[in-house]
Amino acid sequence: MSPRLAVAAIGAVFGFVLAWSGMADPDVIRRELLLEEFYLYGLFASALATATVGLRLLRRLRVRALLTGEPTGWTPLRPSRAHILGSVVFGLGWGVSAACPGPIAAQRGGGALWSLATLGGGLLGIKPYLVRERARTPAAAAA
Amino acid sequence: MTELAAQPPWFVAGQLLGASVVLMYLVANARLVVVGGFSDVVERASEWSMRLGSGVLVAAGVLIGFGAKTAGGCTSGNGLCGNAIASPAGAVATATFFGVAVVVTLVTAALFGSGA
Repeated sequence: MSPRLAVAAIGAVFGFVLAWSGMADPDVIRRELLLEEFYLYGLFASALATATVGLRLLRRLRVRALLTGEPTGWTPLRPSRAHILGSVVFGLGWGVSAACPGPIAAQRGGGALWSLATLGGGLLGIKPYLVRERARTPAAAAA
Repeated sequence: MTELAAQPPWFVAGQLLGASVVLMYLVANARLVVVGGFSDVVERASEWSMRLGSGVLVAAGVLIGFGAKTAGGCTSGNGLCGNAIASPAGAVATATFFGVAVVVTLVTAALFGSGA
């Protein structure tokens, strides 16, 4: 399987589960953020538990990434002002639109026309950042 | 959107999302991120013009894109992956955006009604 195809397949599974679990439905997200329902929080906790255990298994067993051949691993980051300020802005957008990037992508995949608005806004929001980033570090690859 | 089967139990769907994160590390040794992918789209299609709908959604989208890019991740990159790799930055970001989103939603519901 080609690298792109393998990663696309993971994205397809991720997006499908987001849609299936109702996380691409703004009405559902709104009820969750209003603390009327707690599905999202249970979902998030169980996804986190699975990912935490699975990633540690990969690292413990010294599994090499299929695409790159490098040992699976990661570098924890110390919180910076950017993490907090960015997340405040992100949380505002999430709260207003009841949509975040994964579900927006799933909505596009599902053909929801109105998601073009949040997607377009999201791309506009990223654009100046990329321009600035490129001006600062011309050779830096997009994170 | 086409109708899917009834919403699965959260612990089933959660394990599938978590397994996707593990698969990304197994295949590419990389975080499963969404905003990073959006960045690629912008970079490749800068001239992309689109007919946009509601102004509020566009504005919210700008906040989402700019905020998540600044914070180095959204609910996937910082929330799911960042916490799974026990990154303090991911934990701080998650607490911040969850808190702000809940407060914003409660405030807009109080101002405009919960259907808004």
